[in-house]
Amino acid sequence: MSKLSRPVATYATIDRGREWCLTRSVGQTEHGTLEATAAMARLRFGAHESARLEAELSRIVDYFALLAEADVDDLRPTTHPLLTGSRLRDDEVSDLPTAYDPVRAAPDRDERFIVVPNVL
Amino acid sequence: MAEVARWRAVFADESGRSRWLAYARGWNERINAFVSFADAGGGADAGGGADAGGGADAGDGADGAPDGPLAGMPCAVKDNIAVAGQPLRCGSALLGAHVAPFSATCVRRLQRAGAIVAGKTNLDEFGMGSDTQASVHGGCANPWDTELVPGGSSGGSAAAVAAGIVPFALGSDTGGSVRQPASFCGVFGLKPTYGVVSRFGLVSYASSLEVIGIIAETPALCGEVLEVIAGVDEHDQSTVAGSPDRDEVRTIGVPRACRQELRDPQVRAALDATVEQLGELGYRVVDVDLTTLRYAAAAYYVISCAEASANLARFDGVRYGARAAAESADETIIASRSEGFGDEVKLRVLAGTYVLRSGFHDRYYLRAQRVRTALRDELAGLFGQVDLLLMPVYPVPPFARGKARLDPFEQKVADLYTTVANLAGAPAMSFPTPQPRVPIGMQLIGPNFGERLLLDVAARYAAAHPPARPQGYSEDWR
Repeated sequence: MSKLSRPVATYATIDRGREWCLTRSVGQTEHGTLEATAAMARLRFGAHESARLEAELSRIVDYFALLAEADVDDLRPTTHPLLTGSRLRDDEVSDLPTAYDPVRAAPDRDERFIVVPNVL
Repeated sequence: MAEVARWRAVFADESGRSRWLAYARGWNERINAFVSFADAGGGADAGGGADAGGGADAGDGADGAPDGPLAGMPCAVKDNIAVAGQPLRCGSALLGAHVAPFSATCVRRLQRAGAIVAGKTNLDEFGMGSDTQASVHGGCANPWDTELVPGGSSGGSAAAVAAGIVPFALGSDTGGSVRQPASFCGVFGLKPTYGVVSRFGLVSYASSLEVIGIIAETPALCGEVLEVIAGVDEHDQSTVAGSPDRDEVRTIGVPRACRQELRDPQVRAALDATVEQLGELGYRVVDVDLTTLRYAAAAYYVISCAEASANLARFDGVRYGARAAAESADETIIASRSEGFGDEVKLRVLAGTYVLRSGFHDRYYLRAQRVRTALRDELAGLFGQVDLLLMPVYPVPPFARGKARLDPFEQKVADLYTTVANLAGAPAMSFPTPQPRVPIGMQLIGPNFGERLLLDVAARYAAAHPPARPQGYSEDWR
């Protein structure tokens, strides 16, 4: 019997999710993981926020580990529910909205230019 | 179309609009469902607990079409869907006082059909949550009991419909965000098949999962609005048109796991009663196995967080929204994101970045996508045996606001029933069941493009078991 055909068990409800968390050790993410991941995500935290987020990240990554027991190695991954291939517009000249309206939303701009700190 | 006629009369003149605004603001002081009200010209006007906004040209945002099928009918739009000239803030401090420069395709289609966008509704920041408490505008309350959450993330839209402020509202459903608040507020929530409604103008969170959905007073109105907003859109290449592989519902399957796993006595009783009531309406209700249900929420959160980490990379304080002061471009981006995003958004962006990291990608993201395949295959097999699936929307009734609420992790685990439809791209609909105290909804899931099947069953059920209204719901002002 494949693992997927077993009866659904344990922590599928709130109660069981809570119970599951309480019986698992939290902290499977490696030390230093938060800092490295945050740098990739362009985020920064103070010490207090880091400690809280590290615990929450560990909790959710622990939960993701549930997927390891699914017997799906032979299946192709689904990246999209209804792939219909690429659809392109006809290659015709037409009036398209200018970029000016979106540019007006910039927090700092000089006429039609967005002002940013020096990048050099 | 009787509903349209009633509402059209209300909005036919200025005094009717004033009576509506008084009713809406009265409710909004208690439930904080609206974050902005539109003025008569299509811009935005602050009111009640709502924040100020507006200022840009309405552009394509004009309400109109006096002869359209929804002429004169007001509606509300979740504040992660663009309405030209109205605020678009996604419940986030990061977006500051951003005003949408264009309208979403579905909003344009509603306006072309004559609907009036009455305002924007509250949500969990960027749609990430199940209780509409994590919003820069403050938490939203349930019209049935203001001590309870309205569900989320489209909680403002559901609360506005339940309170009778608008007959329908748009929401977005990435993992249940239309169906769960509709269930908590005692109204109808339709999540269409992925691609049936254009996502152009929806602020992206998890692109392969989310759809724009409809929350309404009646299944018939859900259907009328769907007719208007559905269709292929040149601005969204994932849009599709199709028809279901059957035209009537005879058999409805209930996953055994739902009955085995449900601990909450109220939700369990509601499921059992619904099974019996559907049987009385002539449907054959049978038990089925849905073994991948066990993995649905975990797979959903791996995929949705991964997609969120990519989609939310665009929020950098450079092109729109609030910008933090910093010396360099890098520092500007990091400071704007760190100061602008709320706790739950940061956590999901972190989790998504983590599962996509080199070395972890196969373990989490690729595996979650394979689980998604298993779930789709299993659902396809089930729809060879039954016409629709019946499940609870959420494993517990509407929960309390404040510290006693389910914490964000518990809310994620509880999304197991709703995430099934998003992972598969299937249509699903929540409908209210008769309850003595607080609303509890059930959901039907159908084969692709089977919205009409869901709407027909929900309409028959509602005719036999009409939904109740919360105290304070009134039509006298009309």
